[in-house]
Amino acid sequence: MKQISAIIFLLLIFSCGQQDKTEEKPKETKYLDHVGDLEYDSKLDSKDFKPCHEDLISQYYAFREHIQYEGEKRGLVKQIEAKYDGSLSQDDGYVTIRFIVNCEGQTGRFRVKTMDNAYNHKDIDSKITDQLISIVKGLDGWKPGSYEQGRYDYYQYLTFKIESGQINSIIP
Amino acid sequence: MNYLKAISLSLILGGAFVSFGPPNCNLFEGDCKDACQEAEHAIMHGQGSRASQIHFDKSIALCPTFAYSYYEKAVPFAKRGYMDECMPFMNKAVESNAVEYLGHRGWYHFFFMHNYKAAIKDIETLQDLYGNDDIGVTGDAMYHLNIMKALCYKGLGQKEKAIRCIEDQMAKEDHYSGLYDYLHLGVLYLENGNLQNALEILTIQIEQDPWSEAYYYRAQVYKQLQDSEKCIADLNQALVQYKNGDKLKNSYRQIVDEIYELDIVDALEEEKHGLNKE
Repeated sequence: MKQISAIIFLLLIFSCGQQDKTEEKPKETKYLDHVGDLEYDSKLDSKDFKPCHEDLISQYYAFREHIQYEGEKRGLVKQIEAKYDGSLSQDDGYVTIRFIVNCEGQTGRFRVKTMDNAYNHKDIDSKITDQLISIVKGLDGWKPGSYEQGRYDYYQYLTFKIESGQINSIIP
Repeated sequence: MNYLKAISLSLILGGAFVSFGPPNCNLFEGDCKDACQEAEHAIMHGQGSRASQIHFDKSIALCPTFAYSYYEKAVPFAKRGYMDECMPFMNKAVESNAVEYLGHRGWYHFFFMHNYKAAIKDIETLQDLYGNDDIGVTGDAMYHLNIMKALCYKGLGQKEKAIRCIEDQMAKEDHYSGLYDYLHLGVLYLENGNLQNALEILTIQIEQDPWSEAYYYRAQVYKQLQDSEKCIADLNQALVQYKNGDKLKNSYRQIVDEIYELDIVDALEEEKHGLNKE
């Protein structure tokens, strides 16, 4: 039973994190290997951050928890709420920050999207976005993806629903 | 646990967000049959993979009204935080087949974005299309869509409306019983100050499925009833259930009324501190 679950898990990891080798089509610039892949960009990303296995980065939901953090999601939210100042702006909308957590629990390759309530791009007040980016980059309680004895890299995102400058909710 | 609940639990824990198969391709003709077959190829590849997305795009090009391919193309964007890229495809799926995909879109507004107004609007439009309340369940089989609608009212702070909506739905003879229906109703009673109803309903939830959350919220009822002994007993039991894994769980996001170990530990400390002060 244990062996079967290990095989299923590894299949899931590969299906989430790897290019499909059976498709012999040339790469088209329109398509990433996988939706949501974050490729290294020397203009944006620190050289100090490296995924442990660039070709095997899973999605956060391949593991058991939606947030793998010290103190679970409650610990994450506490840390964010302690640092965020909601009095600086009255703006509304969504701020999504997507990034990689590597197999050592370090984070990098942060990318940001800002949207209105219809999910169209919206420039949200930088007093909100700058704070959130800085806070998320400073979060230091991430745990690597784990399964049995293995530790894995994964993609994580945090979406902040902002109402009148306040954080209404943090997803997932 | 009854049969329906066992099915829902296996769907939820087994990854209900995996691709569902396309409709029977023999029901289509010409380019739309080819589009359906392209979709069959697409789901043989990892969800969100380049190959999968290419096949779905070919499918859509062949038959621009083939709703299934729009929907399946949209799914990985939502799961990975890119709702701006998901929603144009989701909208096209709804345009092509509103009866099939309005409920899914409403669920995505609720589940991934906490966009309660948009979710309610989709559910009400679906009810108008059906002409009745028999509108089905969420894509993960967790709730009847009317229960999800109630949770949207809760998200908007309209708790009495949320309670009425759940009560009405659960009173129906053919109600699809979701895993957490009693828990959500009990918590709503608690939040609305109706402690006796909360106590009764949360006890039913514990008898059916003893989730950690049911004990935790019943402890809050006992706290308000100033029965510290029962409050602490339930919090201790909540912790036991939590550590056994008997709790609300979803690998995609926090569920409504889900709690974490820190919530229980903090509540226990607060209650014990209150006792020591007396």
